[in-house]
Amino acid sequence: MVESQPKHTAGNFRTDKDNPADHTEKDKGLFYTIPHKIVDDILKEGLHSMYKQQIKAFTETCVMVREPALEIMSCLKKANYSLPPVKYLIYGENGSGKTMTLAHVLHYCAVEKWMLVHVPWPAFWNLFTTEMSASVWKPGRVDFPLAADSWLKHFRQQNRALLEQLQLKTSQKYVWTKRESLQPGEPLTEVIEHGISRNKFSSDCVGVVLKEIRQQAATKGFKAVMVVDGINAFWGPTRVRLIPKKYLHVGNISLVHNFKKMLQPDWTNGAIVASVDQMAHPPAQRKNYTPKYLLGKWGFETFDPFVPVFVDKYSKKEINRCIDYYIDRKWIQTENGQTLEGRKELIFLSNMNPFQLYQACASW
Amino acid sequence: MAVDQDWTNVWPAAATFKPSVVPLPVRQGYIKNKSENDGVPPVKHGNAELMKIPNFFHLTPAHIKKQCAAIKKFCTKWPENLSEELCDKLFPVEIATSNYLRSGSSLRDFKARVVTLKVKLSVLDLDDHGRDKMKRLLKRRYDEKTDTITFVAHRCPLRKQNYDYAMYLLTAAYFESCKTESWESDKTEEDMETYLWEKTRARKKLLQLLDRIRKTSEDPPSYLRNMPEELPEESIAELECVQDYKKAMTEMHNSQESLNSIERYKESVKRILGLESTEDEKKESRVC
Repeated sequence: MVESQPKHTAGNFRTDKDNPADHTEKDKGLFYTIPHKIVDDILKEGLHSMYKQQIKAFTETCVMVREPALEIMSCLKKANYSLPPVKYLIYGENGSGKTMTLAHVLHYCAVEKWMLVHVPWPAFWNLFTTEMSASVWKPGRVDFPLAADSWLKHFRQQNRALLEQLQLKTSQKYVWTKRESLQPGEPLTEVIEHGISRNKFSSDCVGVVLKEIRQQAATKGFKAVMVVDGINAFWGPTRVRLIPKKYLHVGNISLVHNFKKMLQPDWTNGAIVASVDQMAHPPAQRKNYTPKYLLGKWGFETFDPFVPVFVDKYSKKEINRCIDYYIDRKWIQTENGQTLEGRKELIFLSNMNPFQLYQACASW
Repeated sequence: MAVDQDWTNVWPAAATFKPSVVPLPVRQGYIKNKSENDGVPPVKHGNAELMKIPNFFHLTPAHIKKQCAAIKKFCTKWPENLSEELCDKLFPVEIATSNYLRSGSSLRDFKARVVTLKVKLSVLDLDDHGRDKMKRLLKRRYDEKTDTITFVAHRCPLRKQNYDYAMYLLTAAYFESCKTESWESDKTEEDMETYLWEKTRARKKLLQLLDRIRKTSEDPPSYLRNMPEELPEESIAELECVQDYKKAMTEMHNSQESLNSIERYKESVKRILGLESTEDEKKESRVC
């Protein structure tokens, strides 16, 4: 029976710097708030459903400033953009904060007015696609019309302001059918609208949009970043059945193929920030969380050379800040949870893993 | 049973489990749900499971001690200076056979024909190619951890025949691995047993990338800028940071992937792409 245990006085766990470009080493372990508009317009697709519930419960979106995100942002600031895009690969245990790191970096790129090519969870295409059609452009490939359509809508939503400002034009003629074609010099937004209205060509429209971004990033003076959560799905197994007992090979999916072209070193003024996630693979292939194992031989060869960034579990300082935040937001409601002993027990139960801490605190 | 009674006399030979004789409160049995036997495994009395399984109450340490004491007078002393290492050196090949005494219409047991031959791979005079080929030929008969080759011969009816067969297997495997066939030159990157960066597609890809940067980029990294224009693509491989990258890749592929090897790979890639942390940045990160 716990009687009048000493309460831990919460230290300062927030930083008032809301612009990710201003975050430095001094803000490590502190929470910064993201405005609701940015979350809705840009970040929502890439966040986990449990975190979205947390946003609703806490009525604010707070992200902890941590080392991996700071490292990637500092590299993005000082990288040489006349070289082909640098690839950053985030890796870490389940629940250690890879998706949150990606969200932080995505916010930074949005604030710095980069073109965002954001693929929230490509493993979804591999596992749950039911609607598919034979590719119009290349025989042997398979289109995912609905997936491509929703990606085009997502891209349009994220980059609305930038597309209006830049007014990008197509650089060559694109022929859809005998009667439908697009002349060079037409606005790029036409391609996006065409893909959304005519789902038959949506995968090809995605390819056109990505190609134009690659070609024009250097000449039109905007930086483009491709952010992918779970990029190991580009080289992983699928569960899309063609005929009984035969699954579609991921190399034959036109959507995936188009995104993989962004990884080639033939364009400049860009960066690629991705994460490898165990959950993007079927349960039998989740033995390890390291890049080489999850990418596989094919994936590693394609993605190499890249800068691997490790997302560790919470440090002692970070976990204390997080518990302070949860107490402030009334996520930890019991008296015991707010004492020193309760804090020690939470740290032990969660084993310093951020997601485990969130779940352990739920019943306190 | 009295505590000071000699167990070897209570249980002299192999016998089925007798609950009244064994003084231990053992329980055995699978309980599906709490309603069965109050949720606890059944006691030893009238327990068919305990009677079915073999027990070793006739081979306790006390029994072994007694039996060894009885056999000792028939043994000679172990040679004085014969240590383990000398044994391995003088007697590299180990042959194991079993003798059986059957109580039946015939004394002979067919299991006595089995011959096991064990030898260490390091004892055989083979070069790198021979050692790798031997491992591929032997597959599961070779144990990585103990470096031992094991041949179990049991296909012939007599022990002598099985022994000859095992020796033949060893000889044939050895001489086959010494030979190099013409088709072995078709070995691709996927068949390689170790990661040799010189022979990988990754090397070609990196050199092409760096050559492209050198020729087309307006602001290449300093180590590429300082290279004279005329030098071919291959000479990029001689650069120090590319050699570091090669070391990091080789380490990452040849050993188990660890956080340390990934960190070294990261440092080498950062150096190649011109992203290395300056001294000031390192100091700042240490302070916080």
